[in-house]
This record gives sequence, C-alpha cells and structure tokens, in this order.
Amino acid sequence: MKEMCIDEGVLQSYLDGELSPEKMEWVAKHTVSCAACAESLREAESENVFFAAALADDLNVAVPTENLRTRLDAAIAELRQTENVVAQKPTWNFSAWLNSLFASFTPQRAFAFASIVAIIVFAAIFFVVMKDKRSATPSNEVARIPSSTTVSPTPVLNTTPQPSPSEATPPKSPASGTRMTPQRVNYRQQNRVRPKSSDADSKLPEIVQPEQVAKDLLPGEKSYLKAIQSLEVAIKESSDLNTSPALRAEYEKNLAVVNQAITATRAAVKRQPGNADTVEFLYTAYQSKVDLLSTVADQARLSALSRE
Amino acid sequence: MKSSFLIVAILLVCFACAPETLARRRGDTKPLQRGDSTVQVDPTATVSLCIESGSITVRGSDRAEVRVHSSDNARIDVRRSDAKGTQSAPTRVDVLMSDPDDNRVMSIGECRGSSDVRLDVPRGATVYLTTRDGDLDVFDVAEVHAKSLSGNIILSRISKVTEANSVSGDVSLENSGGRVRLRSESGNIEASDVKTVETNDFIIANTTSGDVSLMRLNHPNVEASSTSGNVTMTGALARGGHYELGSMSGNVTLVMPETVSFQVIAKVAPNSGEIVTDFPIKTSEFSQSRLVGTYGKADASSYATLNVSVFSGTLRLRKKQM
Repeated sequence: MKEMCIDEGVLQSYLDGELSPEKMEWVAKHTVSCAACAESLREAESENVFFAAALADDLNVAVPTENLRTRLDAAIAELRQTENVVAQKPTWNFSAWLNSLFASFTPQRAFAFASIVAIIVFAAIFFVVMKDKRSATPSNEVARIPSSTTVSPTPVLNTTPQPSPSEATPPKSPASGTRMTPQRVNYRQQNRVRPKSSDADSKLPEIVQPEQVAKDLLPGEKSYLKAIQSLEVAIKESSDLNTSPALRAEYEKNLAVVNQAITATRAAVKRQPGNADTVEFLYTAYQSKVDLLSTVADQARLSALSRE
Repeated sequence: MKSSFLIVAILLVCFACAPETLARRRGDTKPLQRGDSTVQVDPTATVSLCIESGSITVRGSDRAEVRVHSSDNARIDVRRSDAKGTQSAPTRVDVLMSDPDDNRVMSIGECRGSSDVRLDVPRGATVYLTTRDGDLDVFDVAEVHAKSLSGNIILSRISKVTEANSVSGDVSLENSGGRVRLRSESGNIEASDVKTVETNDFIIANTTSGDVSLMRLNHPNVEASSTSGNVTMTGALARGGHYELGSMSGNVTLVMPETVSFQVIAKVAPNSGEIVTDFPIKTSEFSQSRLVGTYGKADASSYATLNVSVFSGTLRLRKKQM
C-alpha cells in the first residue's frame, strides 16, 4: 500500500533539521519514492531559499514546525484539563471543614486560636463600654452646640463674630463723603408708618407658610426649608412637647413671630428682588426659625429624657 | 475534640463576664446617699447635674470638694465618671438624683428628681446643669453650661466660659469673662460687666421674642439679635472690636460715649426701618435703607466695626449722657 504524502510541516521540519534522525531518514527515503512529496520538498526548499535571499535578516517567517505544534497541542490540552478541574471542584462542606480543622488542631494550636477569640471578645466588650461612657458623658450631652449651627446654609450672617481685616478698616475719606453736622440727625423715611415693638406684629402680613412660596425660591432658601422641615418633624415626634401645654404655647408663639418675620422679609424681597440687604434679612429670618426649632427640639429631647 | 471543648469553654467564660463588666463600668453597685452628700474632687473638676424639676443653686468655693444638698431628702448619688482606678481625686463627677420614693436604679444621662438642689463646687470647676422647670443660679465658677426649659438662669462671676439656654425664662449674666453664649426664646437676656479673657473670646446673645440688653462690655466680639424684641447695648466700644446687632421687628439702640471711634454699616428695610444717630457720621454711602460711614478721631486700626441692622424697627446710635 502506498504511503500517504508527507504534510508541509514535516517537510519544513525536515528542511530545518528539526526531525529526529529516524524520521529524517524516513522522510528522505519517502521523498525518493514519492514524486509528489519530492516535488513538495523542492518547492519548500526553493521557497526557503527565495525568502532567505529576499528578506534575509528582516523576516523570519517559519511555518509551524512539528515540535512547535506538539508543544502547542500539549499546552492547550493541559489548559483544558485545568479548566475541567476547576469546574468540577466540589462545594464547601462545613462538616468536612470542621473535621479537617479538628484533625489539624494540636493542643497548642487550639490554645492559640482560643486566645485570639478571647482577645476579640474582650476588645468588643471594651468598645461597648467606651461607647456607653461617651454617650453618658455630660460634655457631649449638655454642651453640644445646637444643630442649628451645622444646618445653616452659607448665605446667613456669621454666628460667631470674627473681626474681618477688611471690615475693621474704615473707608478712607470717599470723594462723595459729606461731613454731617454734630446735631442729632434723623434718617427718617418720608411717608413711613413707624412701627412700635408692641404693635409691630399686627402690622406684619399674615403668616404664610414656606410651602406657599416654594415656587420661587431664592438660592439657599431650599436648604433652610429642608432644615426647618426636619426640625419640625423632630419636634412633632417629641411626646413631651405634645403633653406640655406651656411649652407648646411658647413654641407656637415664637413660631408665629419668626413666621411673620419670614413673610415680611419675603414680601420685601419680592418688591425689590435685586436688593442684597433685603435678601439678607430674609435669610436672617430663616436662621431665626432654624435656631428656634433647634432649641425647642433640643430642650424637648432633654425633657423627654427626664420622663423616660 | 478536647481542643473544641476548650474553645467553647473560653468563649462561655468571656460572654459570662461581659454583663458584669458593663455593670461595674456603670458603677451601678455604689450605695446611695439621701439629702446630703460630699465627695473630694479635683479643683478643676467637671460636675454634672440634670434634674426633672426644681431649682439648682451652685456656689464656687476654695474647697476641693463637691457638696450636694437636696431640699427634700432626695436620693443622691455622686458618681465618678472619669477613669476609674486612679488614686487621685476625681476630675469628673455626675450628680444623680431621684425622688425619695423612686427606687429605680439611676444611670448617667438620666434626668430625674424634683427637689431644689444646692451644689458647692471648687471655684475652678466646670458645671453642666439642666432642669426642666426650675431656676438656675450659678455664682463663682470657671465654666457653666446651663439649660432650663421654663426657668430663669442667673449667672454671676463666671470666669471662662458661659453657655446658657432657656426656652421661656430670662437669662442674665454679670461680672464675668471669657466666651459667652446666651439664648432664650421668649425671655429677656441681660449681660453686664463682661470682659474678655482671651483674644478670641466672644459674646453672643440671641432671643426670638425677648429683649437683649448689654451693658459695659469689654469684649471685642459681640453679636446680639432678636426677632421681635429690642436690642440695646450701652457702653464704650473695644478698640478694633466687632459688633453685630440686629432685630427684625424690634429696635436696635447703641448708647456710646462721645469719645468712641467706629465704622458703621447700618441697614434697614426700604420704606420700613429708620436710622437715627446723634453722631456726626462721615458717610461714604447713604441711601434710603443703608448708611455706611465713620466717626471718631482714632487711627484707622483702632476703629470698632458696627454692623447693625433692623428690618422694620428703628436703629439708633445715641450719645451717652455724661
């Protein structure tokens, strides 16, 4: 029976001298008896010569040799085998783990492990004790600055007066400056209804809840409304406020005062949208409400503590 | 298997010890006194007391002890709350009180008891006081933090820090120094003869519907405001001081000697507030609602800054009648 033709790779290996001596001898014998293989060998040889001459050192194009193919096949097979092993890995079994754990435990290891657990438990107890101590410390309980200072949006006036170098320096004799007479000067506004502190409230517009003006909020106003809302919720949840008529009355009275201030300043802002001072008055009024609610919430919380 | 039993045993011991440890830490096992109790403390100790109702009177003295006296034989527990186990005198104690017939265990943070209490503390002490309905009267301590829901707060000779807060009571402070923060929602606030101790000290007084009255302050940083009440400040201005006074619907009045020097920024709402001054202010800006100017002969760095605002009241700069 006629032997099959040698494939291109084997012929290339033969030309490169990579085959074993036995195989080299076999290829040599076969190409003598097989005209087709001899022709293929010649073509491969001539191609080698052509490429070697034409490209010299620049190109080293080699048809995969038999050795390389063998190595690649072996590597691929190994890789597939590994994947199969991973895919077939058994699930974690607690009892098996426990058995292996106990099997590997010497008394020394067990003691070390128990010591670590004990340290962790004592650390947890210590943490709880310290946390308990902190929560009971009066400096945190009583001296805490009301949350109003933390919820203030930026446009509000500084709560702590700090001298600003720029503000502390008086303006230098402006050109438009006029020296006023040393008599009493009254910058009274013409046609102004002068409010008295006793009847000022009656002249202010009726209370308008912030929700009513939510449509055209100023920048920063939303932060105030959000803070106010959260504080009102906290106060409503205080059972003490609900059961103490005196505290409730004080709260309602002062709430009306700050709401009137907000309404009045807001109306002024609406009349003069570009007036920064008026906007500042509005923010101050909001801040007053935040301060009021913070104080009441704080006091109600403390008061509730005493009733627990 | 021996090892596993050992582990379980150690864990059980740990868990069994935990509640006991917590209980010891809270000091729940300490015996109680009735009516009167005295403990030795550090001269700068922090003393806390929170009662449900009743007045609290605190007096500073030269003695390094805390003495608690209850008017009606209340249960008193003066509990050390700093690091235990030290041989030195306590630096922090909590005074716990409950009514004579209240047999519940007292714990730190609770506010119980309804009797009038007198506390004698070292002069350098810091006191934290809270009462629901009673008045607070503190004299001659270093630092006070006082809260009362409806009672008045009267403070005198507080040397370093003052913080007082009342919902409907009045707050007054006199002959004191350092940092001051006073607040009342409905009550009036008065502060007189308060001086600065450190350069960054301040005095802040805020009220919603009460009045604020400040007299003879020697403080470089002053802030006072009321929503519907009046704000009044009387006395000389600190050199280079910063004063921020305001009211929404009340009046703001500054009564100052003629010798003061200041830069003023006065603001009122257009067509709503007014500015009245006895001082011949050299104005740099003057409009319907705003006055900016200077007064005085001092050099520029010595000017005090007045930032005063009234929304719908009257803003007055008055000369003090000598």
